[in-house]
Order: sequence, then structure tokens, then C-alpha cells
Amino acid sequence: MTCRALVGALLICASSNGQQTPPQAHYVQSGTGDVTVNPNQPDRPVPANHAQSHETMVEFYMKALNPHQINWGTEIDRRMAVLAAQSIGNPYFRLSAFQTTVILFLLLVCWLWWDKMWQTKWVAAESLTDAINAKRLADHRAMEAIGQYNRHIEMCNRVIEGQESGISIGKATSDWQREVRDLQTQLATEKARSAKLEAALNERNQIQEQLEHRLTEAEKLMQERQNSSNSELLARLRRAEAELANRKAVRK
Amino acid sequence: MVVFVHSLGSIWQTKTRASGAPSVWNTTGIEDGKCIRPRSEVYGQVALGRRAQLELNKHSAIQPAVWIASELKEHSDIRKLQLIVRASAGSAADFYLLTITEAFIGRLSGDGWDATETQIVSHSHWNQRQEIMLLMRPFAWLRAELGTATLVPTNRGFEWRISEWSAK
Repeated sequence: MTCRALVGALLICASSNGQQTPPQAHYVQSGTGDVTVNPNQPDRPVPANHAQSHETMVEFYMKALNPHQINWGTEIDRRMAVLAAQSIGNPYFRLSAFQTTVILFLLLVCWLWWDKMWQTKWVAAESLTDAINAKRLADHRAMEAIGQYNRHIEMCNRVIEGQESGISIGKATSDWQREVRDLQTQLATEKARSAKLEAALNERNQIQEQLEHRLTEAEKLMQERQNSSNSELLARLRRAEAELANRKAVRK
Repeated sequence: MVVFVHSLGSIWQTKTRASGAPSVWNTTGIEDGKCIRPRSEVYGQVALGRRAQLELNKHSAIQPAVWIASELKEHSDIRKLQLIVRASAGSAADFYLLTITEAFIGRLSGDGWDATETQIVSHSHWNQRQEIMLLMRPFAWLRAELGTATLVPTNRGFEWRISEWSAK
């Protein structure tokens, strides 16, 4: 009841001030309480003690998203200003940043230097390997040349000795031995091959003898069969002639 | 493979396994007056299977006969050939297993045979003495100090065709 009285007093004050206000709302007693009726919209009564909401949908959602109503643009500007003041604006920060940059630069220089040295070592190792291989090859060729030269000189010496002594020279003992061994091996191989061929020849001869024997037997058999068939034919012929003669005699 | 076993080496080795069954091997060796020692230059063994052991116990030696044997394998520098069971008498032998000494045609050197036709199983050598066990194909040859020998198969095994250097 006190509230109703206050609302009524306020409405009276407002009307007494003479301000131009929208059409006056009437308070009507309802079964559930007092309602206010706007004369412009008499068919839409509003509860008297209900505070009318003035916020829009956008405001509602903005309130839901930002319940504390913080102005983020201002906040970000403020924080950026704090950050700038504590970093760029701070001489200690500038000094330490400079030192860090210098250290990183020196580390980069060291890495580049190390990489370059590593590459240089690889190139040096490759060159060294090439040099060692070339040396080995040269040593091998030199040893071959020396050996050939020594053999040539040895032969020259033998020729000179032979000319001086008048005894003809031949191959060295080792050469002869090697040649003898080669010839012996060749001889053994040829003998084995000869034995193999001989065995194959014997086998063929045996097969041929068997075949000849069978052929002879077959020929004999054929001859016997031929003879027996001829005698049979002769007997049949004789019988036919005798029968013919008998028939002729009967006709006469 | 079918192997005609002609002769084996001088050394017999036996070992009783955990199961109680004996394992018997043969390899080459040289008698130095006191005993027969392996003195191996190439160590190889002929392992005797159960059938071969039975025959060995029966005749106290392996009679020349055709056997079915395993391939010659080499493991840890030990060559091994196993005689499994006797083949039928008419079987043609792929290889001939034989052991020869220096008394045959003199000492054999490392190149004294054709490696494609002859495989060495075991080789013992001491001073002037030599015993060598070979696995030879038919018509394989040997070249030694005193001459050559060619293995010629026959109906009942093989025969040597020997020609000595001094006979030439």
C-alpha cells in the first residue's frame, strides 16, 4: 500500500509540474492486483508495480557477453601503454635486449664459422684421400716398372753372359716349373677326357652290338616266317591244281 | 646324393650323446710312430648315420658300396659329409669318396685336381706324409708328384687309370 501511495504521489507531482506528458495511465483494480491501462492501448493492461524494461536486444546480448561492462578498446590501449613503458621505455630492457641480440649474433657467427670449417675439413679429407690413392697407384706403377726394368736388365745380363760364355740361355727355373705344371695339368685333363670318351665309345659299341644281335635275330625270324608262308602257299597251289585236274577229268 | 664309398680316413672319433646313442665320425690322420694324429690342413668329417654304424659294427669297416649321403657342407671351417643309408646296388654314383696317401702317385698339391669335379673332404699332412679324403666325380683326375690318375667308373665301382711321369 505504501508503494502505491508513493507512485500516486509521484504521478501527482509530475502532473503538477505542468510538463507535457503522454496520455495519463489509469490504475484499475484487478483480481490479481493493480494494473495500469494506457489510454492509447486500452486493451493491453500492464501490472502497476512492474518496472518497464528499456534495453534493446543488442544491449541484452552485449550485457551477456560483457557482464562487467569493460571497455576493451580503452583497456587494450592502457595495457599497450604499460607494456611500452615497461619495455621500450625502460633503459634496462633496452640494454638487455641489445646484449641478447649481440649474443645471438655471435652464436650465428660461431655456427657459420663451424659449418665452414667442417666443409673445409671434408674438402681437405677428400683431397687427402685422392692424394693417397694417387700415391698408391703411382707406387704400384713404379713397382711394376721397376720389376719390368729389373727383369729386362736380368735378361740383358743373361744375354751378355751368354754371349761372353757362349752358352745359350733359356727361361728361369721357376718359369719352367710353372710351364711343366701347366702342361701336366693339361695332360691330366686330356687323359681324363680321353678316358671319358673311351668309356662312352665302349658303351656305344656295346649298344651297337646288342642292336646288331637283335637285328640278326629279327632277320632270321623274318626269313623263317617267309619260308613257312611260301611252303603253305605252294601246298595250297598244289591242292588247287589237283582239284582242277579232278574236275577236268570228271567233265571228260 | 649317391656316393660310392671306397675308403675312409685313418681316424675314427666317437662320442656318446646325452640320449645314450653314440655318434661316429671318420677323418684323415697320419701315424707318426706313436699314434695316429689328425695333423689337419683341411679338417673334415664323414659322419656315420645309424645304418652306417650298424654296418661298421658288423664288418668292423665300411665295405665299398653305394651310399645315399648328404651334401658336403662346411660350417666353422669343418667340412661334413653324412652317410645316411645304403643305396641299391645298381645305383649310379654321383660321387666317389676315397682316401689316398702319398704312396698312390706321390704327394698332391693344392692345384692337383680340377676343383669343379673334385671336392676335398679332409687333408692331413706331416713332413713327407699325406692323407687326403676326396669326393670325386666320375672321370675326375688327380695330378701329383709321380704322375696322373683318372677315376674311371666300372660296373662294380671304379678303377684308376694311372700314368706316371717317369713312364713317359
